[in-house]
Formats: sequence, C-alpha cells, structure tokens
Amino acid sequence: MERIKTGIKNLDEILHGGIPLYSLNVISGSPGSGKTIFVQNIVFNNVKNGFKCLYLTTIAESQLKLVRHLQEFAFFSDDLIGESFIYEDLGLVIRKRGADQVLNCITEMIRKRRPSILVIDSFKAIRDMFNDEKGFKTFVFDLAASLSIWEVTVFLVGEYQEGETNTLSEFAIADGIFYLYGQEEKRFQKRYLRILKMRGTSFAQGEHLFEITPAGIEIYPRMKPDTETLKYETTSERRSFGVKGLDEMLGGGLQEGTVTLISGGTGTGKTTFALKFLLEGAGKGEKGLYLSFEEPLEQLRRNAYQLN
Amino acid sequence: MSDLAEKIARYERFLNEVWSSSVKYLGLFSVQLLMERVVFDVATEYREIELVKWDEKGISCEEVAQVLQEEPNFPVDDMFMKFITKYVEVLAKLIGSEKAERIMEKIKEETIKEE
Repeated sequence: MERIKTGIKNLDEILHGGIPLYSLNVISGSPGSGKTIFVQNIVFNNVKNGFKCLYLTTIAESQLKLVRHLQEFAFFSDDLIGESFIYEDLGLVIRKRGADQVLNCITEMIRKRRPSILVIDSFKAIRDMFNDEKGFKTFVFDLAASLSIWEVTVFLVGEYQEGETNTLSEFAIADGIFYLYGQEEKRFQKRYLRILKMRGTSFAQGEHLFEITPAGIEIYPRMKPDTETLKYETTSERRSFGVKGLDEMLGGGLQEGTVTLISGGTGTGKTTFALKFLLEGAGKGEKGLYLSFEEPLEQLRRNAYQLN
Repeated sequence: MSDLAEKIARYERFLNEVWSSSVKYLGLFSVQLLMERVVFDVATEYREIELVKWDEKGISCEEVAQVLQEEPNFPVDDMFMKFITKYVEVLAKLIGSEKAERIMEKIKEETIKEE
C-alpha cells in the first residue's frame, strides 16, 4: 500500500508509515480544535515534496482569513501559493449553481488543476446545503469513487462532534477519520488527537496529545507499555520504614520486590513516608532512587532536614 | 469488413475484456468513472477517443469505426495503445501493479488464443 507521509512529528509513526494514497479522510472536531492547521500542515509538507494541492474553501472560513492566520506558522510557504497550493472558493460556486452541481463543480476543478491532494474546508457546510440525507449520501459516495479514480488523496474538514462520527454517512464512506478535541485545564489547554478509522493500515489507537506550536502540529504519541512479561525474583524479605508502629502493622515492612502506592491529599505526608523509607534503607547501606516530578531537590532536602 | 474496421473491432474486443476484468476489482460504477477519466486524458491528443461509448454492458467503438472510415491515415494504433496504457497505469495505482499485470497477461493470452 502506497502512502503519503504527513511530515508531522510522530504522526507517521502513529499511522505506521503514513496515510494510504487516494484515501478519503475526514478531519473532525469542534471549532478551535486545530483541524485546519492540522490539515494545512500535512498539505504544505507534501506540497514542498512535489505534490499539488487544491484547497477548496466553503463558507466556514474565507481564503483571506486562512492565509492570514496560517502565515505565522513555519510550515507555511508563500512561494507555493497559486502554483502547487491552489485555493478555490467552492462556496461561491455552490451559491451560484446550487448543491446538486457540487460534484460536477469539483470534478471540473480536478480536471483543470490535476491535484494529487484535495481539501474541502468545511465539508460540514456542504452537508448543510443538502435538503435530504439520501441525496447527500449519494453525493459523498460518488465523490469518493470519482476522486480515487483521479488519483486524489482527500481531506474533508468538518465541525463534527464525536457522536456524529457514528451516525453520519460521510464517516461510513470515509477511509480515515481523525478526531481532534481539547480539554480546558486551569493552566493550559490540552489537545488530543484520535484516529477512529484508517482503512488499509494499522495504527496506534487511543488518544495522543498534541500541541500547536509556531512550527505547526507536534504530536506526543500515547505511550505503549512494553508487553514483554516482567520477570523478577521475589523473596519473603521485608523492608522497613523505620517507623515502629507502621512496620509492626506491616508485619515487619513492605515485602521485597513489590510495588506500593502511597496516596493521599496534599500535606498528608506522602513524600515524608517515601523519604523515610529510603533513609531507612540508606542507613543499612542500600541504594535508593527518588524520582521527583514536582519538588526540586533543595526543597526535598530542606523538608527532610526540618523533619530531622 | 475493411482492415481498419477489423482492427477497431479487435481493439473493442480487447477493451471489453479489460472492462470485465476491471469490474471484478473496482465495481461497475468505478470502471465507468475510470473510462471517463482515461478518455478525458487521451482526448487532449486524440479527440476521436471521445467517440468510444460505454454503458453497463460494456464498450462500443462503433462510432469510432464509422468516423475513421473517412480517415485511412489516422493513427488508430497509437490512439488505442495510449488509451490502454493510461487505463492500465491508473488501474495499477488503484488495485496494485501485480493485479493489473495479471489482468493484462490473462487478456493477452485469451486474445492470442482467439486469433
């Protein structure tokens, strides 16, 4: 199976090599989830490698706004616009000729421009122009069949919610579905990408974190734990905390070779227990390793010193 | 039947073989789209290829034969060879070059047997 590389950091590894050539992919997500930047990043990376792209805007975002907002990214290249990266306003054509002429309009544009990649942004806007689901379904089916014959890899961008991916016809016909979403947190926004479907290739499932940086999209793939069975020796030896009552309650301490989770609210003494456990071992000549994700070494030292 | 008409009839038989074999992999709808695309491409050099007609049953070169009757020096072989080459090229990209080659070999064998 021939593929196109996305060129986005870590995405080709998640896709086990890239997106299958001539596939039809839906990039879905809420407004602001990063869909347009995601697809433009893929397209610019490919256009720089000799591909030709036809980018059809509808009524969600005008060409002017697209270019204005995207030129700040490192992947954007002014020189390619108009030559290998062609913007066309499909919305204008549809408004003039009507929804029943969309397929003909797109086919005419494909014949004229001969792109290897086609983007329709937003495809949801086209869906909204059709009065009935049946007519729209036929249109999507014909579009998918026609574009693969013209050797075009397609990206349909749309403001879809996750639930819609199970019900709307474009998702049944699509070869690939990317779903982008975010989660607001107190200090920053977390962005996630999930691949819901990808015909013709295996891929790393689950949610992958991503970031929108000045360079473009950067993905941090979901960590897959090593499936190899962990083998280690167990003994009946006990390792104590050096805290009399606690060690008695534990029958002499924690069993060697086991993993213990110390949990509790802020200030309940989790860190102190862990430090005390290591200190007790160190006193017996055992080596301990403390990995801290929050408190720096100096603070740990100071806390331990104050606790004697 | 004139030599030219016979030649075009041979191409018609060959194209129909290719058509039937492609339907197996692409389905009738996509094969019709593929025909449309290849005709569009070849027509940039030979407008006469637009006279090739097709429906659910297959391909007809009857109109080509009629029109070219008046033009004995028309490069029929070049036009059809370009059509077939382009068709197979796109087919190979869609279903893989191994399958496309297998289809072509099988058709060639059958055509040789018939002749």
